Amino acid sequence: MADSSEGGFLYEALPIGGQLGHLEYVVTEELLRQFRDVVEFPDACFPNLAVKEYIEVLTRKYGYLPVISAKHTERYYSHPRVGNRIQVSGWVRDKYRRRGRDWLVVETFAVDEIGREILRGEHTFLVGGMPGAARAD
Amino acid sequence: MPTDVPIITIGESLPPISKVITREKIEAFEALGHALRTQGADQSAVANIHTDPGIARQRGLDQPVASGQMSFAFLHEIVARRFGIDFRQGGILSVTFLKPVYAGDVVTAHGVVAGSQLLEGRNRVSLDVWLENQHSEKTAVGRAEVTVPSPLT
Repeated sequence: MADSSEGGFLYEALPIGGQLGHLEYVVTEELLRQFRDVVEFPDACFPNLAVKEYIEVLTRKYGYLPVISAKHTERYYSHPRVGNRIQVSGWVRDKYRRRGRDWLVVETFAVDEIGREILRGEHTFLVGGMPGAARAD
Repeated sequence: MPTDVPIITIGESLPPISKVITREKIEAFEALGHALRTQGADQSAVANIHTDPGIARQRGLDQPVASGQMSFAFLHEIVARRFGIDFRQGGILSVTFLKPVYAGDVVTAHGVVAGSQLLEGRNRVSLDVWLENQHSEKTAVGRAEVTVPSPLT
């Protein structure tokens, strides 16, 4: 199990299937331009990649949990439209212990203000630090 | 039902895309995400494993690491450039992160068509995608699926 100093207590308390926090944001023309600049792709249209909705819905419900990204999946329905409010809900899809480490899977679903489906995401976290990494402190 | 289904050949390589990773880009990516999440209401700087050396060390990393979502964005781009709206509306991308990407790295996104199946007038395409650093080490690997033309367009 995850060490309590590494968020283990919180991890143990997370219920599979449990609803996470809610997130809303608006993609403005300026923020979309900044996103395209930073990823150097002028046709990029999913700035949710920078939002990291999966960690935001988790921390909005439970606070800080030390995690490292292991896997990310997105299924696209439609890209966000500039000026439309994006609404994101999330839930705990799964959690399990494998190779002596604790893993957490969060699923998110994003729609815009008129109910248009944007995308569904699934993110797998490794809880704690990098496996086998030496601690500097 | 679509009548003009483009032929997509198994083994087709997508044009690779290279990106130079800098600390400024890593921090800009984090700042942008923060601005979107808070809608500009919180002007404080982002402090996490991507921006703060101390926090990175606490998490077992040698130095701040680029977000996995930057790697995901580069792999997204290589598929989006080839398949456009068919990928943006109905596509799937799944990526496993293997190694950290740091400032100073040069990463290159690759993709190759692994499967192509005609089904009800559409071409269901699967692709292997991966990201390599300047040492030819794979830092992320994944799979994409696209239906051409997309049933959602």
